[in-house]
Amino acid sequence: MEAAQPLFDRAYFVAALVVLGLGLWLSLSAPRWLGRLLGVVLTQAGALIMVLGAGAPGALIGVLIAVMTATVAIASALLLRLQNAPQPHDDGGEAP
Amino acid sequence: MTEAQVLQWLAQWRSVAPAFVIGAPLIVACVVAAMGASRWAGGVAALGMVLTCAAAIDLGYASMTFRTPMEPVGGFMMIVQAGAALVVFLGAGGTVSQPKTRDASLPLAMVLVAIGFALVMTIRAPESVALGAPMLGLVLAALTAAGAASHRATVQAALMAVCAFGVGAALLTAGLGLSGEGLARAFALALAMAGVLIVCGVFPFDGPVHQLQRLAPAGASFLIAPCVALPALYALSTLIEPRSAGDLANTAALALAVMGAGATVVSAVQAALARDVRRMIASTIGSQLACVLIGFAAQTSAGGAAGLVHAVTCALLAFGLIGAAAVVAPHAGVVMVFERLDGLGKRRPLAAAAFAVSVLSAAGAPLTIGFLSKWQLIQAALGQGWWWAAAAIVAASLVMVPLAGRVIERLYFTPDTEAEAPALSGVALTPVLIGVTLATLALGVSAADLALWAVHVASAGGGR
Repeated sequence: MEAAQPLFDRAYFVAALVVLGLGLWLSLSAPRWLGRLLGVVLTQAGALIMVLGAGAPGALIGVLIAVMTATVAIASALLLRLQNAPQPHDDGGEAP
Repeated sequence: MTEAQVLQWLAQWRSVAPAFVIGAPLIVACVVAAMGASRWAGGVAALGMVLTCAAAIDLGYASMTFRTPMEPVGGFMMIVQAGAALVVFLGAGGTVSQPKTRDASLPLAMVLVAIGFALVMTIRAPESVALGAPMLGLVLAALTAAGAASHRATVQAALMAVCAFGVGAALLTAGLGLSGEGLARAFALALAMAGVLIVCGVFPFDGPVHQLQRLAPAGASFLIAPCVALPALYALSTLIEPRSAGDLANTAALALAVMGAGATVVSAVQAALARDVRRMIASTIGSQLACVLIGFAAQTSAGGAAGLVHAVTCALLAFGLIGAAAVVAPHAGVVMVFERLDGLGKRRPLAAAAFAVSVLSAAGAPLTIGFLSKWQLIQAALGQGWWWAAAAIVAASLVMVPLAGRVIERLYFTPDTEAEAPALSGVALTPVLIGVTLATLALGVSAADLALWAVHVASAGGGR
């Protein structure tokens, strides 16, 4: 971003990388849907810490918060729908 | 009213048109959702859609002729988006209003919201990309689940897609928000590129977005390639140059081209080997999207123009394949074996024609728009010195040829073995199928105007 600070704080960046990496790992490999969704939220939280530390414009931070909220809301509705869906006999477990 | 007054009024209108184009579908969606099961909901949604698309086409045309400060390539994409939005609305309207679906207002509202976010992405601003692509994907996942209440695999595919869009959004926003020089800049660009590639389904190959395309009901499936992936790819091309220069821009473009070349071949092979028609369709569309990526990655006016023309090809063949498949098997998540295409030429001549022409266009057969756009892509790749990318486009087309032959043989030369009647009348999709078939053939015969416009806007858009 043109308005962003030239260099982000190292501590922020390391913290953000750790959270983002943990989130990516969870979202790719968690055995249950809740774990995967937690991973997605952690990835987004890591991104949020990263852009906050980089001094990104407020619009971008607002966009990320809006996307986080929408992700959690839609994922919750889908999880509820999945719980109410008839149990299959052959599609083997919760996570594909 | 004098001519000067009309021009002044037009200038004033176009200054607020971007807000209208983005805001109107969202407001109409709220109204339609609030109307519930009212029979007027469809009419209100259609009126909002037509007004939005008319405004978008006017704004896009004005941008292409430099009468607004908006970017010309964005104007071209906005016109493609508006046309796609009308087709999506027709297609979705024809598939969500099934007899079993008592209330189609919520799916229609979701389609409107999705189209609003798709139009957001054609405005060249980082925030619009970061907001538009993942939000559109999330709405799409919700629409998929809404159309498949009792189908567990489809809801699971929607959840996977929510995860993918969420992660893609995070990486994209982090990449856009970071700044710095050298390694930090390269890291930021890589994050943003990875985010967009995940959102538009080019990476990972056969990933969550492909699964969503395969398992979603037709109403949602119509939206994925033309309204999520194409604007996201355009947005991706706009990210490279402002955020990098010199070697970094070249490296980023090369990385995207390598990704596109790999994805187009892998997806074409997956399509050729598929046993499920829906999987074949998802992989075919994925292969064409990867070709668009190669064109945009070239960062030249020839590459940009080829990418734009192939974007039109991709939208047309997506509509043709998904529309024809929706006529045969409209329900979400149902495996559609190739035997269901047997004798479709006699049962449903229009759907069969659309399917055959679209597959031929995907294979780059002469007299279809796919031939012209792939020719342009190959020229652009060779002009950039990317002979391997040109070879990948040719290889992907050659892989699709036997598939096209197999499909046509089933459509026209295999006796009809379909015992059950198709669940969808297909009347609502008739204009879509006719329009797609005619446009694919007409543009394949003479696409001079389209190609000229593409070159014109790509040159004005800053291609080297």
